[in-house]
Amino acid sequence: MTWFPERRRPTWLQRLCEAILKSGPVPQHVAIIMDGNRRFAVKNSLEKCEGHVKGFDKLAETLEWCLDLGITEVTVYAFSIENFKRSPDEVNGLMELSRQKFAKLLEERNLIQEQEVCVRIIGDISLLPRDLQELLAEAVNISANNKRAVLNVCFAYTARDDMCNAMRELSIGVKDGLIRESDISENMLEKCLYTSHSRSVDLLIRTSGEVRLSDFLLWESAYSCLAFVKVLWPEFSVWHLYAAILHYQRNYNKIQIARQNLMIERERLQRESDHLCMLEEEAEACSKLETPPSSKQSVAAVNSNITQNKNAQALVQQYAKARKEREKEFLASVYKKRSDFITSLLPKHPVMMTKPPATLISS
Amino acid sequence: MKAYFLRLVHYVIALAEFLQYLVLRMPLYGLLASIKSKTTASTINEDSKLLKKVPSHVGILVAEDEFSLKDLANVIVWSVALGISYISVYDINGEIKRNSVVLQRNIEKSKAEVLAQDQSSYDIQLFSTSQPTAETTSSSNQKLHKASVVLLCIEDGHHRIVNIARHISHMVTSGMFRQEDIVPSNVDNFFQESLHFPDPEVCLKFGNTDCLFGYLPWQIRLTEIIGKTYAVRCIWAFEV
Repeated sequence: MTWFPERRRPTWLQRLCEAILKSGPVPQHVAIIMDGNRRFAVKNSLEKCEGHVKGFDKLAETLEWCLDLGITEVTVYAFSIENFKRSPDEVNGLMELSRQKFAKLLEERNLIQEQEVCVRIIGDISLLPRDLQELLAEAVNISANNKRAVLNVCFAYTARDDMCNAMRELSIGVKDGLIRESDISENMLEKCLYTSHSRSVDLLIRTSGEVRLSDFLLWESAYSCLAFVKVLWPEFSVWHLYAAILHYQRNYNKIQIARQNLMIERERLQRESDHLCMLEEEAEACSKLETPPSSKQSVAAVNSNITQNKNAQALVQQYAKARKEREKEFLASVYKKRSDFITSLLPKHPVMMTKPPATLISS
Repeated sequence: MKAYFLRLVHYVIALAEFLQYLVLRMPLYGLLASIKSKTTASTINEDSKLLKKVPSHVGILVAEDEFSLKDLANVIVWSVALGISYISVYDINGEIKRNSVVLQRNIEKSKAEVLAQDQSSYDIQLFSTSQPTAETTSSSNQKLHKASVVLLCIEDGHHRIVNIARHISHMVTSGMFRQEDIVPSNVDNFFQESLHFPDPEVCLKFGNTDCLFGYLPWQIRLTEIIGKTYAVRCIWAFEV
């Protein structure tokens, strides 16, 4: 089955529900843990791989429902790093399925451009077989400039691994002197995650009735609405999606308040840290000028100096500006490293054909 | 027009939930009165034998603005009597953390009520991350069951991860830690050191909002998140 199935006309009831739901708040970014493929296969006495194929078909369908509702970003948990521990047969099956599906996606590249869908891969894809890496990189590359909707596919991903990765980037930045240790903040760490280019996750859906996050978007979902749906993923229907959105709307106000408070708190912490760092910086500058006094005295001296001059506000602003410059440069270097990695995986000799030989790929 | 209809739908859902709540609670109240006298250490002990596995760390997430410290104390004492040795209590605003003295008093009261003569064999230590208690003296060694209760607030969520990131980057810069070693298993050790708690196996969420509100994002990886309606039944299971 393709990524862009023939559009089935929604029934009048669906259209009505859609219109009603849309008059309330609709999540911008929905994350889905598509759980239950294997149980579905067992239940219907299919091969495990069959279950995963059914799961993929459901995904294509769900993306369409989401677009109809005005949900512009969807993140799905396709393959966890922990899944490598499953039986080799199943892992190979999943890899083969991904290979086929992404080859299919590349084959349908004109449809991606038509629908203006941007595909992003979230996770450490260097853990995957090389040929699959190349397919993923190409899919990311051809759709990078699409703006209408975003599909994030978490592949070889765990949230802890993602956070560790961000910590590593930050440590390297500090070590290389691009940023300072005091520049590490919630905002900075967030911008080093794989999901840095995404909106905040509004609604997280997990199917199959399990009530765990299983290492999925732990940082990002701390202030999201959680919906645990008691249905196996291949049996997920548009009605389950509508119910999840109603659930989101019921929780909307409280979560929104918590988020706003969080933002205010973050800004406050940032201002405090800027102020403190500015004082330290000035103290250092002073102690370099006047040789003898101990650092504590000089901090006090600077303190009184600054309050006298009533210059503190300006100095803090100056410090904040310099810090933002540092952060910008650092993040640019991190993002460049990532896009360079993707570029390195692209085919060396770009094929000049506008359409790839379909028969070769789909086989 | 559509907006009104949507509002109507939400009212209907709210009404349905309220009715469900009434139906669920009604028999509960009646039974509760008769059972109240029975919730003692011995009955809870018997229940714990029926359970195949008792979690070692239970998180209590208070996701509503109004809550009763008395009920909270009861849940803590039941959990301790069930053999749970680590309990974390989280509310986003740190309201519980500020009222730790009152909570402590409520726990003592609840202990006397529920555990009765056994209460001396249970030792419940309350502390919060900002004010860690000093290790108690040897007298606590004689007690059979020890449990620690940690009070958490928003600072223990994302903020803790940032602090650890700073700590690690400091160690990397000074050459004490290699950047290749920043992998989940190693980083997890830092989190274990900062709290001295295992990851929670179960998180009981109280309140109507289905959101974690920043509860321990690193540690929540495999935690079973049990919401309101389940929580009632779960405590029910604790009780009966």
